[in-house]
Amino acid sequence: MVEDLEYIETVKLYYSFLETEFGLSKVNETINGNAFYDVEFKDKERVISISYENIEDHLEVIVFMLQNGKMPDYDDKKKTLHLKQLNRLVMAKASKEEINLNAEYFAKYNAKNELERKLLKEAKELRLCLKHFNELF
Amino acid sequence: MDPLTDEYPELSNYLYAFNYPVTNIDVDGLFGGDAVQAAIAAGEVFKGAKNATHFATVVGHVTKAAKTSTRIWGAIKDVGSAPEIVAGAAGVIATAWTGVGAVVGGVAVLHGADGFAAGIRQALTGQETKTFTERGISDGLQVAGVSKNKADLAAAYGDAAISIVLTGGAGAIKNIPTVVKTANAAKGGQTIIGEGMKRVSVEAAKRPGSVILNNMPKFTGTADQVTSQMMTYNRQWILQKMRSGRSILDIGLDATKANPSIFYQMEQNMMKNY
Repeated sequence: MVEDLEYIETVKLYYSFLETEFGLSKVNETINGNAFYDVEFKDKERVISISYENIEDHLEVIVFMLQNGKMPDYDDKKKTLHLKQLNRLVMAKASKEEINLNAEYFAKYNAKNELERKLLKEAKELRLCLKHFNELF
Repeated sequence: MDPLTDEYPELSNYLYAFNYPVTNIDVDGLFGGDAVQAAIAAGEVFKGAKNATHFATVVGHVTKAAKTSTRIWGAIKDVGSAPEIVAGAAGVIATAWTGVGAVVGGVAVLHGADGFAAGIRQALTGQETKTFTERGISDGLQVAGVSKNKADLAAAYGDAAISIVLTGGAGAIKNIPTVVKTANAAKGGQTIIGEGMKRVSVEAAKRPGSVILNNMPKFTGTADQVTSQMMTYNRQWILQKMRSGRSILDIGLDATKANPSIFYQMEQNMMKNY
């Protein structure tokens, strides 16, 4: 079981590049008991959600492409972009050097448990995806 | 007075299902039988029917046996009705009470249940037992002046045709992805359930006034204890929403999730009784 504040703080730390590099702003923090936690970042075109279902141990990083400023349908595969799907596209484009440089950026963080390791891994993937985002869409 | 009293003088008139109501069934009060064995037998025939070659063999054996016993035909009625009930129920669940699919699915369930009940009665009593649908068609034709034999024959064919149409119809309609229970929508916004908490919250954001389970307390204890408490809370929550009569929108499974959600599975089971 992961505590809500611990999760939120870790996300804010590992995903701080969203604000510093990509100009997104943190807009929502959702805590639903100890069942579900979600942190959302937003810019004009996208909402990025990093959510976790505690009991199911399910971490999901999603880029929602806004439609006239509104959230798309969750099941719309063209507008609701799951990181796993984005990562597959980007890994085909990214060079080894770029991947290594990206990993170096996150070397300052030290994951203490399994969830933090997952959060760190997905943060690395997300940063790389956002760097190539305009080439993909 | 029990019409079978003379045949079974050793049994009390007040006996039900040979005094074993847990394992036995007595549909019309005439004759108790082993419900579990009947279900197993029907299941075996149904399993056999999955394999076309084996199905032919099964049909051969059953037809031979059926010549000597109307009870076997009762079991066959059940096997024939089971897919109709399943297809009908699938239609109802998939379309969740919204429209044509629900109506056809509901009718298929009722018609299938009618056939299934008649099959059980016949299997247990050994008496030729018509479904209510058959009786209705036959009576109608006889009123119209058709002889009893011809009316019975037409009713049997008519009932079978209805089964085929409803089974196919409900099966085809189950692919329509609408899953809303619209009854009593006037009592307030929709309650939204589905797999994936983020997915449900995104759906809720589009529907002003809708309600989702977003106010869970913080439970304490071991991981198993917390899971159990959350499950209980979730169950009570959905039960309360069902009792309130609000419409419930089930947005279904999350295709992107590798592992099914145990909480959504519980909600789905609860919804089966709604």
